[in-house]
Order: sequence, then structure tokens, then C-alpha cells
Amino acid sequence: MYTFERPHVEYQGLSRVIVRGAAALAGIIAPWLRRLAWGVFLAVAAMLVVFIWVVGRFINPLLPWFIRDLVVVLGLLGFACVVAIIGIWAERKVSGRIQSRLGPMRTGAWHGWAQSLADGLKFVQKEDLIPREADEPLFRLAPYVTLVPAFCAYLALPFGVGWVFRSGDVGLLFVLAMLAVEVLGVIMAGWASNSKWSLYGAMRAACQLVSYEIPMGLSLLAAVVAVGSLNLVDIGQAQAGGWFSWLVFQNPFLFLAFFTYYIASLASCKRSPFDLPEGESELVAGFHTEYSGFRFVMFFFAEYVAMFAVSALATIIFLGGWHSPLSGLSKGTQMQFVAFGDTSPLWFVLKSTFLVWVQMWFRWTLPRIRIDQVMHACVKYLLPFTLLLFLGSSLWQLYDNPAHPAFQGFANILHYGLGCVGLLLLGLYFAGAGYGYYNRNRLVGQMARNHLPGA
Amino acid sequence: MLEKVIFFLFAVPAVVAGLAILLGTNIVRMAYWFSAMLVSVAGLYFLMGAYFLGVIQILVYVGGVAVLLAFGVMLTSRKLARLRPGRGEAVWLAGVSGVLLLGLVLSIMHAGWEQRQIVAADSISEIGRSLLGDFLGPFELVSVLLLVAMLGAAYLARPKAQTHGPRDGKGTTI
Amino acid sequence: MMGLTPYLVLSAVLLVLGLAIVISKRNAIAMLIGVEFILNAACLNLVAFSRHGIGALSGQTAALFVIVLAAAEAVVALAIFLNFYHTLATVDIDHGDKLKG
Repeated sequence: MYTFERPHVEYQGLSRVIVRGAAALAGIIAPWLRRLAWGVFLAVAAMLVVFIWVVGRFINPLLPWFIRDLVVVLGLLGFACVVAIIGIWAERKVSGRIQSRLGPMRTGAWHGWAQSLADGLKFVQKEDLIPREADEPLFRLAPYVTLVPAFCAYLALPFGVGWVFRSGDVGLLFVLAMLAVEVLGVIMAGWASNSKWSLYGAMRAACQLVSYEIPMGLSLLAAVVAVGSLNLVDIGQAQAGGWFSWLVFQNPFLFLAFFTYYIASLASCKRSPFDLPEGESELVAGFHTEYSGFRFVMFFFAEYVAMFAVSALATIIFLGGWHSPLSGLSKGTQMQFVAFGDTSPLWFVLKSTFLVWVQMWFRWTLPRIRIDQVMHACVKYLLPFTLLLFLGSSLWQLYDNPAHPAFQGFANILHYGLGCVGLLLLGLYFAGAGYGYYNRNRLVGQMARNHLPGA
Repeated sequence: MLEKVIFFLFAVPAVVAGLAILLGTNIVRMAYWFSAMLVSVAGLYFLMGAYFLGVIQILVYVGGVAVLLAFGVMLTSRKLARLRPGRGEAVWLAGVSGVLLLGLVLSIMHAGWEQRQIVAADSISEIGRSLLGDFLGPFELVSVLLLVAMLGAAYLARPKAQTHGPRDGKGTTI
Repeated sequence: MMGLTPYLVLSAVLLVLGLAIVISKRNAIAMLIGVEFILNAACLNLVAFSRHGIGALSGQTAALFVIVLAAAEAVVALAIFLNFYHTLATVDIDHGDKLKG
């Protein structure tokens, strides 16, 4: 269906030759490209894999350390961008399905997978608008101050034991610190827009973000007390051994800490139900109202990158990081569970993606909370609760050792009980998903059953 | 050599930020130059191997104090006053600062610090142990002081009766 | 190796800059920024000495306390400035010349 029509302008001379030649060439090449598209794509992918293997095996040891570091950082940057792009597409599909419609279906042949790319192209070619009385240097700087720390958080996140850029002793605090710098970008954006509503949105956002850092940190500290190290690789390795050794099931305080951390991280990413800073029905778009084109894309990216980063942190600290839930089962038997292997970065990405999907699920299910309710929820409910969880977790570590055998027996029962509760929740999730899939034709509305014409 | 390069990479923005604040007039920009200085100093802490302190600097100073200052600036800058000092004041200020700086730098250069061995980077467990060991007194006092500061600030910033509103009749809203 | 001197010189420069900011600015929040400069210079000094072996780890612990105290002080100072603004509609400290009210 590609027709390369010559433009209606009549070129003269060399331009005419070039245009006619290019059109003729494209007319010849395009049908063949379409036929061989998959082949070309797979060939390019295979060559890329071989190239990477050759470079990794033979050239990597010869390179100086900063080239290697640069390559890894660029790879992380690429990963974060891919996460953001897929996240934007997934958000639209998920929101569509929850609202009994389909989401993007046309851009790209399969379920509109190229929608993010099309959106990116659209945003890039928009007019670069800066409000007249706006503080121009700050206006230009704000998206970067919001986006760069979100990317920097990935520098300390381990995808596996050897798969971390720099695993420092303070990795956990580093990620939290990077998420804390984003607040400055938000305030800068709101102020520099020179608009009262943007400023209100920015102030609310800053209040919310700064307040919810405390329950986030305290919930994570409850888990750190259980492991004894702020090093993310150590925390991940402490959960080796299958479903029952994950920190979320270790004691009831940590179980609840996972949920409080998750709620606090929802607020930290300005996701619904805490998305008043970007409340569409009240402040147009909050602090990024005046931003259009590529600057808006940066804010959008920053949100999805931060979403994955906080989900990744939850995965490492509570859900076992890169360990498979069947990790301990192949010990002592001859079997190898080859579903991604026992420990694999793919497990890490899978679990983090699941948490991101749950974030999207929350966004399109729960109503928005008012700003005073947001602050009340933080200061009156989450903060005392997480303090109690931290205290409880510390006391649990104090008593859960062989010097107190009775308590240790009780703790073991609770441990495995919580693991079974987790299995039950997982089973419920899959049961619900299965029921929904089995009855998908009956449950959804008309719009999702019969596709729109042309889709 | 690399250490020198990275030192200058972090030191120059800190000094530039200070000069920008000193010579500037826009209070909002000053708040952001201040955050730039804080991040540069955090980078210097990382360079010196004090990783925990660097991270705490970013978390507390940039994520807390700088945000607070930005809030304060935005709540109180209804009329952005001109902040430039007069000629005579500037000369006096430059003179006094120059003399002070010269004195400090000369005393540093000629102090003859003995070049001791650089200690290994800190470990958090050691800092934790010193907080609960040698520095237990200050630790507890600081926690009480934080409580007092929180209560005091909450009391000072409480909503007040409107009879004592500002003289020009306009208040700040949020 | 770089030694102690560059860090101390930088800390001295930051100190003098902070002092100049405190002296020359009329906006109360600019003065607060200057005070924070001075505190950061002191922290830098403490950590530099601690790293070069003088005082072992107590330099870093002291710097930690300084950071915490600076945060508390900024909170209280800002509350006071907000009160100041509330009564006088400006944060220009030259206008705070009455002992009453």
C-alpha cells in the first residue's frame, strides 16, 4: 500500500533528476522490502548479536575503563528509554482495556505497537513555545532536572549479581536520593511557566513528593534492618532460594512494609490515586501545562522511567530481585528449572514489569484523592504506620534467632504462613485473569469486541 | 591526575554558583544556583570517598533544604526587590572579603599539613557504630532538637487570625 | 595525589563567598543561602580532614550532624521569615527595624 507519488511541484535541473531518480528507486525497492521485511529484520538482529558477542569477547578487555563505563551507561540509557516507550504504549492499551475499549490499534500492524514512536515524532516536530514572561533559562532547564536524576537512579540498580553499573555500599540511599532531586525540577517547571495554575500544581506536587519520601524510606529501612546492608546486591542475594525466602514474607511487618512502600512510591511518581499535580480535570496539566513538544516528552519520560525505577527497587528489596520463585527447588534433584534459569536479569525485569502494570491498574481503577487528603494520608496514617513497621521489624530481628527458640518457632510458622498467603494472592490473580480471559467475549463491551473498521 | 580533573569539575561549579548568587539579583535563580552548589559539594564528598555523606547531602540538603528554600522564595517574592548593593558597599565588601580570603589561603598554604596516609573510604557500619557509640550523646540531643525544631516551625507557621494581615492587604495563597 | 590543600582552599573560598552573601544581601532568604554556604564549607573542611587521617571517622560523623542541624535551622528560619512576610509584606530585612509587632 505504499504509493510514492511525486510532489506536485515541478523541479528543475539537478533537483528534478534527483527527485525522479529517488522515486524510481523507491518504487523498485519498496515492494521487495515489504516482502523481505521480516528476513531483513532478523538478519540485522542476528548480525547485531554476533557483533556484540565479538566485541564482548575480544575487544572489551582491551578497552580502557571509561569506554566500557560509557558503553554500559549508554546501554542503561537505552534500556530506560525503551522502558518508557513501551510503558507509554502499555498505559494506553491497559487503560483502553480497563475502559472496555481497545486502545491504539492502527499505528504499526499489531495492536498499535508503534504508537509511542508516532507520538515521539509528533512531539518532536511541534513548535517550541515559551511563554513570554516565563523565566527562560529555568524553563528550558526544568525538564532536564526532572529527567536526569530519574535516569541516574538506574546506575545503582542491579539487574543481577554481575549486572550492576556501580554497586556501592549506599546503593539504596543513592536511588532514593536521585528520586528526591526530581522535586526541584518540578518546582522549577511550575515557577518558570509564569502561570498561577502551574505554580499551584508545582507546590502541591512538591508537598506530596517530599512528604511521601519518608514512608518510602522507612519501609525500605524495615527491610534493610532484616538484611543488614544498604547494598542492593547484598539485599538481592539474601533472598536466594525460592518463593519463601523473599523478604516480603519474612515477617508480617515486612509484608505490610511492601504495601506501604508501594503506596508511597505511587505518590512519589505522581501516579493515581495521587496524581493531583497533573490532575487533568483541575489544573489542565499541573506543573507541565506550558510545556509542549519535546519538553513535555521529557516530563512524560521522567514519569515512566521513575515508575520502573521504584518498581525495580521494590522488586530487589521485597520480591527477591533476580531470583526465580522456583529457585530452591532444583537443589538435590537432577532437574534444572530452565524457565529463565534460577537467577536471571529477565526475572528482575519480569517482576518489575508486573509492578508497573499494577501501577497502571491502580491508575485506571481508583479515583483521585484531594491534596489535603493526600497529606493527611501521609502524615496521619502512613507515617505512624511505617514507624511502627520499622520498630516491629527491628524487634523481630532482635528476637528471631536461636537464643529465643519459642519465638523462632512462631516466626517460622508466620514466615511460611505469609508465603502461603502470597501464593494465595498470586493464585487469585491468575484465577481472575483466567476467568476474564475465558469470558472475554461476554464481559467486555461492544467496542472491544467488534474492532473499528480499518483496524 | 584524574582526581585533580574531577576535583575541578566539581569545585568550579560550586564557586561559580557562589559568585552567581553574590552578583545576582533574581532570588529565584539564587535558590537554584544554591542547589547546584549543593550537588557539587556532594560530588566532592563522593570524590573523597565519603559516599554515605554524599548521599545524605543530596537526600537531605538538595531534597529537603533546597526545596524548602525554593518554597520560601516563591511564597515571599511577590515584589521582587532589586538586590544590588551600592558602589561604596561593593568596594568595602570586596576589600574585606579579599583580605579574609587571602589570609585564609596563605595560612592554609603555609600550615605544613603532614601528608598522612589517606584512610580507606568509610563504611556505613562504622559510622553507625560511632553514632551509637562515641557520638551517642550528640545523636540523642540532635533527635530532641529536631523534635523541637519541628514543633517550633509548626507553631510559627500556623494559620493566624486575619486581623494581623500584611499591610498591603494581599496575602499569599497556595 | 592531591593532598589536603585544594579541599581546604575550596572550603575557604566557599566560606568567604557565603560571608559576602550574608553581608551584602537584603533579602532574608538570600542571607539564609549565605549561611548554608558557610555550613557547607565547614562540612567540606571536616570531611577533608577526616579523609586524610586526622580525626578518623569523627569528621564525617560531625559533618553528618552539621547537615542535620542545618536542615533544622533552615526550617525554623523559614518559619520566621514567613511570619516576617506575613506582617510586613516583604522579606527585605531593612524593613524589620521596629521592635514592636
